[in-house]
Amino acid sequence: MLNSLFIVNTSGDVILEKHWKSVIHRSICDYFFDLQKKAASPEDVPPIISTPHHYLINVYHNQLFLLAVITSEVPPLMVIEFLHRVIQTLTQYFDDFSDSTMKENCVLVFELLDEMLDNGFPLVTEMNILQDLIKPPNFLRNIANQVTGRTNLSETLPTGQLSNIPWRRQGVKYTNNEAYFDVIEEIDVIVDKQGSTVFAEIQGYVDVCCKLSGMPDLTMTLVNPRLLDDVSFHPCVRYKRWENEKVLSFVPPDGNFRLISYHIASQNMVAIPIYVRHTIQLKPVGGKIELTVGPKQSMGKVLEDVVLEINMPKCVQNCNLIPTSGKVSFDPTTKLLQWNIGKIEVGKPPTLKGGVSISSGSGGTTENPPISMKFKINQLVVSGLKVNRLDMYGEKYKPFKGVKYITKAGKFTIRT
Amino acid sequence: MTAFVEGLASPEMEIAEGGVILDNRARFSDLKAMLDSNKDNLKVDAMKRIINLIAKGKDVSDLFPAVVKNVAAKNVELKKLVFVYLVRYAEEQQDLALLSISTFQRALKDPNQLIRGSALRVLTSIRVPMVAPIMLLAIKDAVRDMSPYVRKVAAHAIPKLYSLEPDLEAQLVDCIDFLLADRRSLVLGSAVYAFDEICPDRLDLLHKHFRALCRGLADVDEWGQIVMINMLTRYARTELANPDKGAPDTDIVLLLNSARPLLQSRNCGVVMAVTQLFYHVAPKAQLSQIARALVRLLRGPREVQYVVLMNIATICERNPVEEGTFAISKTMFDPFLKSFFVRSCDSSLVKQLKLHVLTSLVSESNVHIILRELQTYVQMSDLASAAVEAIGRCAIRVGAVSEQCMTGLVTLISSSDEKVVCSAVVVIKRLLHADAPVSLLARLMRLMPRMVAAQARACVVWLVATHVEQVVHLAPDLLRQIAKKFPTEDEMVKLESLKLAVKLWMIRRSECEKMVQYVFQLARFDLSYDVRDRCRFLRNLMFNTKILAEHADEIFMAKKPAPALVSSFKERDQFQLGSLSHVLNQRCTKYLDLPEFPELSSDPSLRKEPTAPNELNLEEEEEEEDEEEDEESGEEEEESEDDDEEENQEESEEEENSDEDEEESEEEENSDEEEESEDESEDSEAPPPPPKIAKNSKKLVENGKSKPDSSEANIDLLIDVDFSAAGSRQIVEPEFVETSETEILNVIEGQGISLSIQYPRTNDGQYTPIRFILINKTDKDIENVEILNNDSQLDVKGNTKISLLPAGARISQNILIDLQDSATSREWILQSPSPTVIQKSFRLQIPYTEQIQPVRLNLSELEKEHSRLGGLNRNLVDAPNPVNVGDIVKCANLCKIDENIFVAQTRSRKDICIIKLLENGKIEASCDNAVIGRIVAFQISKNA
Repeated sequence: MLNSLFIVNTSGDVILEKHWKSVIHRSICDYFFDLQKKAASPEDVPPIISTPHHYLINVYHNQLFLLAVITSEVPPLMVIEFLHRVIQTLTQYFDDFSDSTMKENCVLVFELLDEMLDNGFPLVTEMNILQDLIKPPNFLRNIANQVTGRTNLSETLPTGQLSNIPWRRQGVKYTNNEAYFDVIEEIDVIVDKQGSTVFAEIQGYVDVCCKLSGMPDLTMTLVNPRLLDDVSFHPCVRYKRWENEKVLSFVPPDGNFRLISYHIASQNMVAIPIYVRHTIQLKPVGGKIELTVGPKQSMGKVLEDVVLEINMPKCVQNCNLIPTSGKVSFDPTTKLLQWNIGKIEVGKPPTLKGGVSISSGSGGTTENPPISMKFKINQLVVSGLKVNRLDMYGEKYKPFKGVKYITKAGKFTIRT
Repeated sequence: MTAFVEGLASPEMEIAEGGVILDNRARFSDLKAMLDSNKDNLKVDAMKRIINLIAKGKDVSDLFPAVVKNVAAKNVELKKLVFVYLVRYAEEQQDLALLSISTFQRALKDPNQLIRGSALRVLTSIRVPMVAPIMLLAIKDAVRDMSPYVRKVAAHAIPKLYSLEPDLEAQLVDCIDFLLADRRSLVLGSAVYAFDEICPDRLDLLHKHFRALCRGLADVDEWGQIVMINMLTRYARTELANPDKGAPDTDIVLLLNSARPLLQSRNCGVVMAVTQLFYHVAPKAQLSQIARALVRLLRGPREVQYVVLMNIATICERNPVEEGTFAISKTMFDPFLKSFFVRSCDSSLVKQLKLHVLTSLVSESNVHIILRELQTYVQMSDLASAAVEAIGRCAIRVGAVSEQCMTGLVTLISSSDEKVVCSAVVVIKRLLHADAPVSLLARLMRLMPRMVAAQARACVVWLVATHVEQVVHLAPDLLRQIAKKFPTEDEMVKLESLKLAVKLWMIRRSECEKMVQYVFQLARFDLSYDVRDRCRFLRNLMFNTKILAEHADEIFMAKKPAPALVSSFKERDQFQLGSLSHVLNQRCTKYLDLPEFPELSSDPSLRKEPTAPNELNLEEEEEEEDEEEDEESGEEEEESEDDDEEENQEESEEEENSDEDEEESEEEENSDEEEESEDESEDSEAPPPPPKIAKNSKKLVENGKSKPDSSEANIDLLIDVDFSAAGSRQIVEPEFVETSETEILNVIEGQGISLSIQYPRTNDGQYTPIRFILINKTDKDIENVEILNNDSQLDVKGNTKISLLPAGARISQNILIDLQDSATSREWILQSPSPTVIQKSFRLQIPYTEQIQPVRLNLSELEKEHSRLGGLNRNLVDAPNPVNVGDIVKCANLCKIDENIFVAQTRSRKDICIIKLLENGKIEASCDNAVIGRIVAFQISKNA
């Protein structure tokens, strides 16, 4: 599948290269750099590039590109998914996938990549097995290693690869056995100029932080499983039981993982918990902005971490805006207007008012930029999904169980 | 100490990164010194720095000799780092790399499966052609390894060896064929990967595995699933009939049903693979199932969105073309129409693709929603031109709104945004090229005075000129308007108006002569020399040369074909959905075309699984079924078991065991007359398989045996079939079973118990059967007699405990031991707590002659094996006395094939052992395990 992998940053440096078959010289990246230079933003670089002898597939994340070199036909999504899995793994190992962490942990990344692929074909991609093979670095262990001369490589042979539950480590032990479930829903919305909803859907996840000893077998029942008609599962979930009984039954991996993700389509009515009233006039003379944000149908819960962002067109030179609450910033180079509102109290919708100066050269009025919103509501999911109960079999101890509900704004766009 | 290491670790690297060229020799000399030291942590540190350099793309091949010395290091981390280095540079330093091979060969025999696995993995990653034969041997061994993990690694190793030495294809295909029959899902995914890399066109190998692969699909790892589904798609398109024509084949139904749950996978590659399977194989009515899953993928990262949208666009593009399937594409993505609405945060490629999909989904029912959406996009600067074009496509697709679209476009022409105008012009020109309604042209002309953008004005003039015959009465007026302000018009408009003037001259010469001449006169003295040139050219053409003027009609009034609107996605349909070739719209290396469905499915009996009729072994059969069910459901499997390693191993052994049992039971049947006839009748029920394909090699060979007359013919038919080594071997019953006993402990040694041993020579998987015979020679009953083995590693099956050994009684006790083909003498203990404490240890060595089991090979196979086992594997032993042929099967458990050829295999590793009596009185032993061969021959020479 993969011949080589290059980790490249946005300024065109190769941070790391790894070859699984014969070595391909790094000059192959030049084809990619050419296109990167042409693209307006790193997101616009075509993900799949054809060169005379090779094919390049790249994935962009946090100012870094993973660039895979392919020599023959392969399902591109397989490569893309794998590269994202690499990013996920590295993020879990180093808490961050960025230029500096990659440079710092070059050798470890190299070793990880060596374990993940054999001859360019995925061999071990389960986090639990990888952690068995190569222990993730942490501060305490680093110090301990320095003193004792031990290393992050495990001395014992990992047995996880042999089990028929490859996602779970063997012999897990905790003094406090606990499992936390976060039900997170993101609302994707497009609201048009008139304030009516063009499109709204919910993307939900159940993320689990599982710290349970031994081989627990969990069963999770939902109050209203019929809500979920479009679900994708972690491989640990027993599909047949879901089909027949609508029960989530699984032996969880150790640590953090995403149990299910689901999608509730726009046919179901989605209650949108926030509204924005806006007047934006971008004119050379007397340009002004007036925004009001307020809660709507939030079921008595408080909107938190509300942030409003507008990517202003190029002709905007400066904004002179005063908010009734929160902070406003405008970056004249990136043209990003950010209004950090924070918590919205009921009954006092915050407003933002002020003038905009526009370079006169652009001439005429320009289009109004869309507004994007971010917010969070604790203890509520919009779809109304609810966990009924959680049972554990196979182990004797009593675990501590917790469920948390969060609603977030996903791709929340308001057209103006 | 630590300070020293740290001092070495950092500053140098920074200098190197700063671009200063360091003296390489000097720099490497300290690394060399560190590698040569006898401190492990110094070595590890050096290796880490070296790997760091490799990761940065620096050349550190000079250090090869210093590094390779450490290949046998005890320290796990050091070893791993050395492996990484070795794999990277072995290709460049082939001779030195050979030094490391023996380490791996040793590790390949390690009792720990993980060490065996990793040794095989690194060994086969070393790209040195000279090692290829060793790799081949290692792989051949490993595919028959007990541990599924090692088998998985072996499957991965096959493509590596193939890329190194493509000549070995035949032998590697044998290995793949063997691995495809593996029941463990861990192995299966990798086996399919190897198949796909080496012999993707050998679909005939898949016949007998097809159903097992389908059922195992859910349990294979994600990456294996992708490869497997793609492979099964190709298989279905080659071997099974089109499900839309007539009732779908049961095998297609099986395939689709086992793949369907995978639409819920979290891996987008798997979802895409299932999607393309349904697109290419499923009946059209089932297509709609994939839409939801595809739309779900649109939530993924931009790269995923890009590929998925590309595929959706192709699906949408194909369906409107095929009559009757139109409706399906509608219902497929129609409910998800809004998912294709553009968001401001999408990347520009995704935006374009979304627009494309939106316009291909357009129909009379939804056109208004889409048009309204498109109108919003027109106001977005980066999407405006694409949106305008999309409006044009809507106009073509849905006739009812074309009028409305045109009106919209026409208003856009007078917009102030240059980009919008440009694309509007392009779209209008394209739309109206072939045919333009008069009313629209009239409206355009009325708008003319208000139009500002030059392109727009030029476009109107061009349109009128093109369709001048339809608006003969209006055209002169347009020319008049332009003539009035001619000097102020843009160059573009002037050129177009000259064209219009010429056309008017051609058809309405009488009325317009004056005006045309006026325009030409103005153009002649225009500021732009392009206009002056064009004017001069046209004037000469029309007024000054007679000959050309005669043909003016043909030159200016010729009909031009309208540009056809062909989407680039239509072309893509020739490629398999979800493939790289499809995304790039070009044929990639190693891309295999998906064949069209055959007229008829190939014989379903080909896909019948090779399950043996198991009447004699009902228990086993049941057990196996249970197991299979477990695998199928996959869900219940892990329930409430603690899956530690031990259990796993046990399971794998059990499985292997049952495999063996199957084989055995077959033989038993063969020896049994009644069973044989039943066997035959079953064979006659099933249609005989076509000769070119070995459906079930085992069975065919048996046939040959049961009907000796036809054996020649059968062998002939099978001539070009390559048997995999294990498939053609047939374990037979021992020809002779010793009835006398060998005493191990006499009455005195055994403190009242006499213990003797006997070898029943029954066949039981990798286990060697042993019978202990205990006689109580005392006058008291002895309770809880137990024979224990000290070695916990030894795999012993069967009960070795006797609760009561009555006085004077004789009890025999059968046990099974997996000896791993070793004749090591082991310590056993005979013990009993009462009435007197008995504890007697004794050593027991089981001779190789009993650790083998007789197998039958056909002659050609025998020949092949014999020639393979040359060199070190062959031993000659002198016999002091002439050998009595009849006694050979007595002293060693062999199968007599010929007057002087005897064959057996070792029980654990299934190494073949061929004993040949040569004419000069010597005994020749050929065996994979040379030691066993030699000892067996030696025993024969002494005892027979």
